Amino acid sequence: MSRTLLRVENLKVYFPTRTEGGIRRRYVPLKAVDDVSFTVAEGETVGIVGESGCGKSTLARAILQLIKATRGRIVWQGEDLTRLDRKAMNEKRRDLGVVFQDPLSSLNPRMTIGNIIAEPLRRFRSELSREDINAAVLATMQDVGLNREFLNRYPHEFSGGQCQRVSIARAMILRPKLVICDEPVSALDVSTRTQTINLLKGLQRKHGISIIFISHDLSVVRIVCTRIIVMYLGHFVEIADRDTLFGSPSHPYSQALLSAIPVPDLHSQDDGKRVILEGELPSPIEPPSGCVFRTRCPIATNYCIKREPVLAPRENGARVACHHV
Amino acid sequence: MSGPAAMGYRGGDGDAVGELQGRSLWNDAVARFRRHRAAMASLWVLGVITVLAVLVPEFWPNSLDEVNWDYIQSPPTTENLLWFGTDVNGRDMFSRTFYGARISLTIGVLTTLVALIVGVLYGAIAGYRGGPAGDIMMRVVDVLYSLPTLFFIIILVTIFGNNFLLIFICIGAVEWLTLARIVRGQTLSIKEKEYVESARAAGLSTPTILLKYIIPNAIGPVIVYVTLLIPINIIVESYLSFLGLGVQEPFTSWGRLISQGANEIGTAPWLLVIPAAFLVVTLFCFNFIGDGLRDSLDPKEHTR
Amino acid sequence: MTAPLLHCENLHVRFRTQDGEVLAVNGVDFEVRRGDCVGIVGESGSGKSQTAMALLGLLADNGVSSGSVRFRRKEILNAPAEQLNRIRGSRVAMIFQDPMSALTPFMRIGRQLCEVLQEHTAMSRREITARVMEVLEIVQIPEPKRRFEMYPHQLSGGQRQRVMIAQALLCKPDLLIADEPTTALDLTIQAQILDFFKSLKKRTTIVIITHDLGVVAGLCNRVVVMYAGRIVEQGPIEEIFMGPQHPYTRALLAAVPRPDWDPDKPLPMIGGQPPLATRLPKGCSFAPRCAHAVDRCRQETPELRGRQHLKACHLDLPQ
Repeated sequence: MSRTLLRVENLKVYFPTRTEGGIRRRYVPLKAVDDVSFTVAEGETVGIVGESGCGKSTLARAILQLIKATRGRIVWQGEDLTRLDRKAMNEKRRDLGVVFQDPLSSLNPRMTIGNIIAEPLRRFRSELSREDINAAVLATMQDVGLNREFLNRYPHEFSGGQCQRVSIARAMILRPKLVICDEPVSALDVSTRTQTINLLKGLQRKHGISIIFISHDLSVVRIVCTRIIVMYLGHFVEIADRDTLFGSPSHPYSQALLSAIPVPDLHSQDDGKRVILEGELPSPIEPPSGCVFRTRCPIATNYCIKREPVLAPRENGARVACHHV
Repeated sequence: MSGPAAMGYRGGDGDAVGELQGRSLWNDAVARFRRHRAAMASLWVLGVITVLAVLVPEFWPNSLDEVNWDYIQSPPTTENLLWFGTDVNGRDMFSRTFYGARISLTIGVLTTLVALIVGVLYGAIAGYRGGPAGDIMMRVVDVLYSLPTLFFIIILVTIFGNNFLLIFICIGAVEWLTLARIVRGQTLSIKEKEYVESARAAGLSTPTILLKYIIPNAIGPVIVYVTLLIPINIIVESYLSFLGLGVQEPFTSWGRLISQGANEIGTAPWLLVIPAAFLVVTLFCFNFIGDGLRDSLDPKEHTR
Repeated sequence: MTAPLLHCENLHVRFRTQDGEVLAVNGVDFEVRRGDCVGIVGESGSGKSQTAMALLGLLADNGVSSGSVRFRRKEILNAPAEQLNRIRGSRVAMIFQDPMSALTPFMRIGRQLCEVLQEHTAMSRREITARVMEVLEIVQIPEPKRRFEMYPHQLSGGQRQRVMIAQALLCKPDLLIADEPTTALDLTIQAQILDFFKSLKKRTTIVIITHDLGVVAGLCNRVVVMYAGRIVEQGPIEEIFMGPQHPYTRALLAAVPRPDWDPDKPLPMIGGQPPLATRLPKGCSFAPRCAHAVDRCRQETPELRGRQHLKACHLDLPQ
């Protein structure tokens, strides 16, 4: 068993929101992430899956300390990040890379590709000479499959897939221990998407980095990650190994997500087997009592209204938050 | 397919033919600006006025305070190089007009520069910090805004005395307010962009983020406003000179020339018409340049 | 054989931009028969959306279309606005990707829907309300009476998309064009809407534009695959999915991670980037990225050939 790199303990991220209407305004917490715990080991790839509004991006930003956690601990190599001051936290960022969803808006339009990729080096390796930085940038560009001629060109001259390669190069140039990818491929077309997935997997293997891969697309997560967390309305509903989750999903929400993947295959569209959820995601300002999934769950009972399920281990090794499986 | 090695680059890429040096957004904007005829013409006219404003007071045979006893209040004539005529004291108007251009343009540009630096930094900091601190900073702007501009400048000039340097500090101290608001608005939207988040996640310091990430991206509308602010400041200086609070004799500015010319409008109309025409042409030029810049910096044009 | 409902011939769409002329759609031919459900598939920049916009005369101001589009045997491409307005919304309806931008934020849902009918029919107020309620029920919106009184921002994304579909169905159109109707939606909501589209096939002819082959698979009976402004392959869905002929279609199908793909193997993929519309390569646009390309592909643009199953490729690839 390899060493634990990151341990998130009982993390809560609440945003104050004003309620609508009335003269007297009340502040109600929006529970974006509500009491979640998980670990990431060295060299591990963890996937976090859920629909928009489930809190997965908030979770990523909270780990990176871009959003303040309301409660809970984020233990990075034995040190609690939530207790560090700005300066100490900024030093830790050397080992934490990040790739965001929108390829074009993640790159400063006024900087050249070369300068964008070099930025982390300038921040953390200020002893390097101009030539050294240039050499490192070119090596990284080659690593991610960017033509070296692009060095002095600007982001708006490139397609989404190439911009995402630049983001990956910037995240990787310091050889961080953990890279958090927030929906890195959902804005890309099919052909560039597979390129990017293969690139991320290749780099992960080559450099042995850990990855937290956040996506709404289970078919992509399955290719990239070895352990997968399914998230719904700020809660973890299932944590399982890849093969366990895809072989025998336990939580009814995982089952529905799995069957909702549109597959370009005429025979897999057998209507009988598909689980189509009723209704829509409830508001995180007024989450349902008890189990958050109960309003859309095909097997919910009265018991689910009263008691909130906790993640509990199952025979197949998965941990599931459900009273009925 | 053979693993990561195969996923590299496969040449045949529609982009990236030849061009080693990229075109930055600025280069694009400059190219577009060049196609804007009115703005380019204005740039030329302004250039000529500026060159004359620099050269004429230095090299023109008739100096600005020399009295030509034979030509008191003479209309424009080719004799003695008195092309723009002379004023009530027989001083050469050609020389005085371009000396006035020198002062007016200097004040216009320098005051705008002061306003630009203060306004952009203040607005960017207020927007980026956000929260209560940013709110307080903007309330200060609101309070200053509510003071009548001219009144405020007059107070400053009377307190600190009448001094060329002070004039543009005073004007600049008032004009930065709008800039601060523009930049704050821009900053609020830019700081939500993922590239700013990436910069924060890369551990960059706040000054670096402000100077390299926020301000360069907020500057587009600012530049447009600045080209409009320069003529405003030239006019403000004219008011002050008109009120006798600006430049002192024998030095002069367009505003002063116009105010003196206005007194003689019945007897010597050229004293008013000539400097006024130069002022109007200059104001038009800056406005056209502002238009051209707005069109060429329009972010809608940048999407592919 | 009866004439097709929609016949599109040699359609070109050009945009004049600051950087020169962009050829977004480059000679597209296809037809839609009554009762068909046609999927137009392509990546961004393939010209699939501009094709749809051109059909209904909805191009941006700097866009020019040429060629021929016949709807029920009448030429409608570049037809006068009056004639197009009669057709749009009543005979042909369109659904857009972003449902929020297509609904007016200050008007109640019910009124927005009623207005469409007031515009296009001579029904009485009571008949109109009845028809709107009927359609809201068809699109399976929960509590249609309450939704009727709501404003668009009070609805969720999935419900808004249902309202959009309801609006499209009001006048019982002969043809429904849906541009990426599920792309902005979550996976479980997307499944709901797709499921609903399947039941909609019985009511009207559908053209669905999407980048997602998975969306097409369970829904359409014909598929048109576009790349860089041209159709590269079209045919019955079984033939496209079971025996794709064009290398691009093949690569596209292979590039989607399937549930049975061994995750430890890298995914098969298409190298390089799609070409820019301002700098299309000579010959076949796909040639620079094609693993099978020969010299002829780089010189000569292939024609779309075939009877039922058409492809634009010089090569005959083995199955």
